[in-house]
Amino acid sequence: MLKYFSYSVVIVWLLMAFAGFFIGDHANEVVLSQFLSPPSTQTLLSSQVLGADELGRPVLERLILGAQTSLFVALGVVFFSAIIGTTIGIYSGYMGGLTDKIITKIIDVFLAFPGLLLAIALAAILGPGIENVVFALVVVGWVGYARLARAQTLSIRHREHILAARSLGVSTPLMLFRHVLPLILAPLGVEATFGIAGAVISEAGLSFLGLGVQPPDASWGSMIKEGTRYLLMAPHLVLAPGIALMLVVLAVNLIGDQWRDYLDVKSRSSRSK
Amino acid sequence: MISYFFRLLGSVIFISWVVGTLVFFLIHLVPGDPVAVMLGDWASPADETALREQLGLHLPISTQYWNYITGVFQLDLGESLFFHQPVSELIAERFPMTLQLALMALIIAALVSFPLGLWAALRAGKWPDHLSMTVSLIGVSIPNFWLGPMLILLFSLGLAWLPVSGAEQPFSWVLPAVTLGTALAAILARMLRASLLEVLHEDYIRTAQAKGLPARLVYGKHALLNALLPVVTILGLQLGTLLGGAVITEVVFDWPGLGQLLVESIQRRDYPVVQGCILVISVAYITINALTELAYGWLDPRIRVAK
Repeated sequence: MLKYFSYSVVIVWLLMAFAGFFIGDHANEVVLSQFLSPPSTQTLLSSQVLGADELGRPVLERLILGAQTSLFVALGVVFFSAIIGTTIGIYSGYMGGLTDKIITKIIDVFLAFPGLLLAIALAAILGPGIENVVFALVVVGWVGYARLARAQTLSIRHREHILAARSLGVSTPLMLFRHVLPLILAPLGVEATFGIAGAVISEAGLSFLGLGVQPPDASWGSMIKEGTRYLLMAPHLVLAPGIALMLVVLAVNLIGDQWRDYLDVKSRSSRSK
Repeated sequence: MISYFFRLLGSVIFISWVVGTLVFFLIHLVPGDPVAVMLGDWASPADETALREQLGLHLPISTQYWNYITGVFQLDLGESLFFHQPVSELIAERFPMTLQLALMALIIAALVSFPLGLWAALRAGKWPDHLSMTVSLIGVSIPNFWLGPMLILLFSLGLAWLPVSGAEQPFSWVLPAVTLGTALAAILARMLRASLLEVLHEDYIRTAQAKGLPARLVYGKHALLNALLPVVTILGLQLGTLLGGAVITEVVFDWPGLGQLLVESIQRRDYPVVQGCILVISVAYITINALTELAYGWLDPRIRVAK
């Protein structure tokens, strides 16, 4: 049941993000006659089905553009932080010695920094904008992958096939990506799934603080921010993006949970007990 | 234990120094001229020169760095461009409010999560387990900047039980603390459940049951105390995270803490205050994490011996 729920939510999210390409500027058109109009069943098949915001723009279309923003940021952040973090992590774990010590220290320093605060600081200094949000979240996000990849590499670096490859004179990059990476991909995939949920919340949070996507572009976070001003008159302005955000994060977290349980042999055997 | 303490202290000082250095260079990351950015488009060249001298940006970078680091050790974080007041004074006014909010959130989270996690673990695989884990998964997934407005809508605007925002009224801390504590409560409940389930399979629990101890003692003393160890770590680490999360919650509820000061200063381009806030929150975070590690060693004799 939960499985179908989570995958359907993610599929809807993807479809919404895709639909965003066909909406274009229509979602930014100001129609003052529709000012704060509530959702109604009379407009069921039109873009006004979820009502309109303080500039009369249809909430549904804003929501779709927001889905595009969050998906773009989430994929960007996870893609870059996973690549950077994994490369650093497996290199550190495989090389060992002084290299490993220095990289571990750097990872520790990053972990000692409150992540969200660092992202806020970077976004504030670099100025608002979707690319800067991705950059700030990657700076914060790579550490998790690096730590995980390092730990996983340490646990397999003495395996026979690695020893064999080394004695055949395989170069370090080939070793890391051909012989180490495939073995540690599964836990990294789980980390990346949770990373998507984290990036979606962080992007919305930064946009909520006015540090992310700038108007007239839509983000679920900035929609919530703008909606709080009309909380009593038009609660749908906050409800719609909030529910969308919560469902996506919940679904992605559920998928991450399922994958982790599936990979975790220990928990699988204890469940069947 | 003493050498352990000093090593921990050394690492706190080292990481604080790194963080201070990063914060110092933050202002040099501003695209373009930071002085022009701070003053906006209407500033005269004379104003820009004056501000550059006030911030010491005309000095060579090594001198700037030295002044900054020695200033930090004397609790001199510069002067706010907006308030014309020392940054350390502004922070001293706001920091207790943030700490109060974080502690309240922590207490609420502990009060909610302990029974929830315990209930789930003792009824593992049955409906109480599924229910409390679903609730906690929702708790993790609700962003606090949405939960806040929803709570305001329900309890302040709808039922008129609690104030909407600010910190002047007697119960104004309730909604911000609940908002901030929800995610933590959810994480703690899940942690406690997992940790208890692991402990409950241990041999000494079976022994305790076999020798006929009452369930209260088996679960309360033997299982819970051991299961709490990892939870304490998470609790400490999360208190630090709460300080970061408080930024958003404070903005939602107009709570006069450090986070709100930070966000307002970002909007005003008051960079000395931004630097000061980030430095103070980070150092607090690092210190709390170190204290957690100490507490962990104190709670678990095995760690003390190993060090």
